[in-house]
Amino acid sequence: MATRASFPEVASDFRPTLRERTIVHRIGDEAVVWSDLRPEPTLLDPVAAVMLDVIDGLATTAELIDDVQSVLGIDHFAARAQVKRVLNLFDDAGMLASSVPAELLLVELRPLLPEPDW
Amino acid sequence: MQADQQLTLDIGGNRLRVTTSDHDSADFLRRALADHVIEDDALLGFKLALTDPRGLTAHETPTRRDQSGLCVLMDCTGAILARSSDRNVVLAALTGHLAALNLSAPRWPISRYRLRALITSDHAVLVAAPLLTRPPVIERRLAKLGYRVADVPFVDIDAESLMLQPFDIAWPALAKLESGSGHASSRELAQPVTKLLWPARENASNPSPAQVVHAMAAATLSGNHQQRISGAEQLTEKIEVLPVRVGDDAATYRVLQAGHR
Repeated sequence: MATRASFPEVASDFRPTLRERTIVHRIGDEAVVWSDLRPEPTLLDPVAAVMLDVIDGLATTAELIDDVQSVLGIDHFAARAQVKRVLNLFDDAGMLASSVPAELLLVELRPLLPEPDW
Repeated sequence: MQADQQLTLDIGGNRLRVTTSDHDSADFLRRALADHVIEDDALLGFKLALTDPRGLTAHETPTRRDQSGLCVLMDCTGAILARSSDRNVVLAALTGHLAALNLSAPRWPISRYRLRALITSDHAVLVAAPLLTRPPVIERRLAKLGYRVADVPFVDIDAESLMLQPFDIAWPALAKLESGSGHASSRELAQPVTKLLWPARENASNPSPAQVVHAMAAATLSGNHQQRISGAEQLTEKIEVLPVRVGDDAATYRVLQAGHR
């Protein structure tokens, strides 16, 4: 069983990759996307739509944060918050290679048996 | 107290229950839809409620068949679809919603949208929820403005011509019923879509094209994902989107009136 891949803290060496079977329609500076893992489409705001182009499986999140910081002219913490927000948005939309199908999403994964403490 | 009549139907493989406090209507539907009546239970689809001028329900009126009351058609969410003192008008409204269950999925470039529609003599206006639902539509106000609400649960639209697709009623007794003032049957839909009424919050800016495409694609009931977004894009490019403030009871009618000038 799988859990939602959430990004409470953005791991600096994580290399997010977009799922290939996602339909993307750019409209103005926004985009409408639809993953085969989701029953409904998702609307991407302008910042998220721009990040579609830079999430390529090669750039790490640290590099993405630097890119956002320099392109948007905001400080490191604000850039980090944006990257985290967009990665969560992409994951909710089923757009990441690590995203799970909607029917497998769980709120919390509980172990069947507690771990022994020796 | 009179018990509601329950009628369980299987139409096109869709099972639903119609409940009504009006025994005459129940008998009429049972005869008209005899081929679709089943014994099994099913989830509530529609309710026909009778009220009398004193505001009492048919359960509370002293006579079982009070002809002077208001007949109200509601769907399973409680949304009011039609109101009339003539029960045949309400039955006519129910007919389109039932007949739609018999339709198979349309083929591209026609797409099916979970939207309501208003029909005039030369065009159609799409209406996104919760407009026309909360508050319920007032048929006479629509009729004064030259509009009629289409008594169907969804609309099929050709993405290239923008024409709404009409459909026939297969049941002779129900097909004879005439739509009331402010209502249009499924056979009267053949008009081009020119506008979309968009529910807007107070002080919200007009929706962006991407927002409209997203909402329309999500409201599409047929086709693959690519077709749903493409159909929504084609529609959005060609029709006028009119924001209507949610919570302002008269806003819908003001926008429609302004659009007629």
